[in-house]
Amino acid sequence: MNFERALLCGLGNTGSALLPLLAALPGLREVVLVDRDRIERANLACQAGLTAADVGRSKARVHARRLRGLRPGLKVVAYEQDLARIPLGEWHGALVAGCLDNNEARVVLNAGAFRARAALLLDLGVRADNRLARVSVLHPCRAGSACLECSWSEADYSPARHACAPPAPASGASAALGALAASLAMLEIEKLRDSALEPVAREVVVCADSHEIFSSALHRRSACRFEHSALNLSTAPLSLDATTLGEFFHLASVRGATAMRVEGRFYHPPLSCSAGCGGRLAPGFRPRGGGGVCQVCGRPSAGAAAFQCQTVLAQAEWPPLLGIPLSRLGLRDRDVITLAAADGQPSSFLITLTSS
Amino acid sequence: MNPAQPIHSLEAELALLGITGPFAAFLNAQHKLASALDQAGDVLRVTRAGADRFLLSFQCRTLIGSNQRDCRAADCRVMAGIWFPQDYLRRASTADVVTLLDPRVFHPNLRGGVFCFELKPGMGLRDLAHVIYELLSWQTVNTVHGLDDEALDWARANRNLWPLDTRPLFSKRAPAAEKEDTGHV
Ligand SMILES: [Zn+2]
Ligand SMILES: [Zn+2]
Repeated sequence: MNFERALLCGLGNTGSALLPLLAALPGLREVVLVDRDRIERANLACQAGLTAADVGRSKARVHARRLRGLRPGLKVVAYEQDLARIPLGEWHGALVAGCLDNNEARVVLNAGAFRARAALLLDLGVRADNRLARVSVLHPCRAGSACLECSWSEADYSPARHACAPPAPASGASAALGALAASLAMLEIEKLRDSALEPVAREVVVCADSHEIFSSALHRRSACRFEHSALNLSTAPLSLDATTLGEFFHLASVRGATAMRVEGRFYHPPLSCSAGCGGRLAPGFRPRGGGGVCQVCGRPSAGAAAFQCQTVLAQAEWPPLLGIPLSRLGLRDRDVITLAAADGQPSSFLITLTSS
Repeated sequence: MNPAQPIHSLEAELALLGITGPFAAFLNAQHKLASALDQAGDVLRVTRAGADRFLLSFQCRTLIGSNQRDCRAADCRVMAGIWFPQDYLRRASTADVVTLLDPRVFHPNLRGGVFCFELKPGMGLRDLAHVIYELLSWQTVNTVHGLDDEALDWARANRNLWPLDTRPLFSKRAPAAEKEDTGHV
């Protein structure tokens, strides 16, 4: 296996330790970093590569700079955002490493890897109480291979965090434990790169307290809550500013398309300005609950309530939007547009930017 | 282009949304449940608003208004929108799933149309209806921490005034108390 692109999700205790190891991977040309958090003083003791001057800065940006320093010439993209908000195309064909601290985010990680066909999915975890370091190695492109959630039980699906409750405490894991999980993950990547062995979905756990190592093969479970469906992706090189929605439909030439959706985004119909100026918000594809800018007063405005967002845009709603450039409809590089036809398989298009 | 084809069946609508597998089974079960819940009493009406959406309307006594000075108890019809996002069986946020549409209700665990309550991924319509009704009727109030601090103060100062509506959600012809059919095992 050869990896040209990597997607590193989460830059805490394990992610910050995995970053320099990934930076040394031969053949790598692009790394995408995702973390919505900012660096806190407490992070300095248990996360790698930080200095006191970084406190208050975005983790994604600080580690992007660190990565560019470690490997000049590498293309580095930083998302200071929730994992659920990044374009689905970022997962496609990538070596995906999840260094997350909660299962809600792991659900997004897993779905992205399988739906967009990542080359490899690694999920890392640590537990401070008995010094456990874990890596799960999954193969989203292999038919019938286990997904991350196949081994989950009811208890692994956490209830929504109370919006009114104080934030969850940090894991309390040391930098050493994070580095152990990162090393385990990187060794699995090296093995896959160097050998021609059949890739097997596997979980490896090291317990530093009891000095034990556990390893088990992971199997696809039909009762898994994830549907294991993959999108049939083809790339659509275009300019988001110069291509209108109508032109995109023409390029895509899907016969009998009746509805479109943008994976992970929701169509917000034109809304009234929440500042009360009487103006309107432009329609477009935005994240759940994501707002926009009022066309009249220019103030940022609250988005549609979730119930008012649409998952798909039916053909009947297309005409007023056909002349609008994709960028103004909220589309971004590596977003995935799916066109559904009443008869037949849906077609999905991964947007890649052309320089025009 | 051909004019849009009308969507006749839930199955076709789910296909357009790209919904398959366990989540399709869940939504099918919710659509069956919706009509049973609609006929299960005088308080709740359930309307389908799409393959993955429902409107719940509660006829109950609640506190309407936006602050301590203008709030008043009233018997009214409260509308809530329910949306089940594609990954609802696996992760859930109350802001996505429940939107209080009308009227403006004053409650410590509610702000901007969004309730705060313990939402488990895959929670079905019956349990959601119960949770929302208990909040609207002030049978359930989390007075430890809230979303609306002014309503929280009111709740603490007027403990003798709530609950506002003590009726159970399903006052008559209650549907069989079987375990909720969530469509997945
Ligand atoms: Zn699975
Ligand atoms: Zn405005």
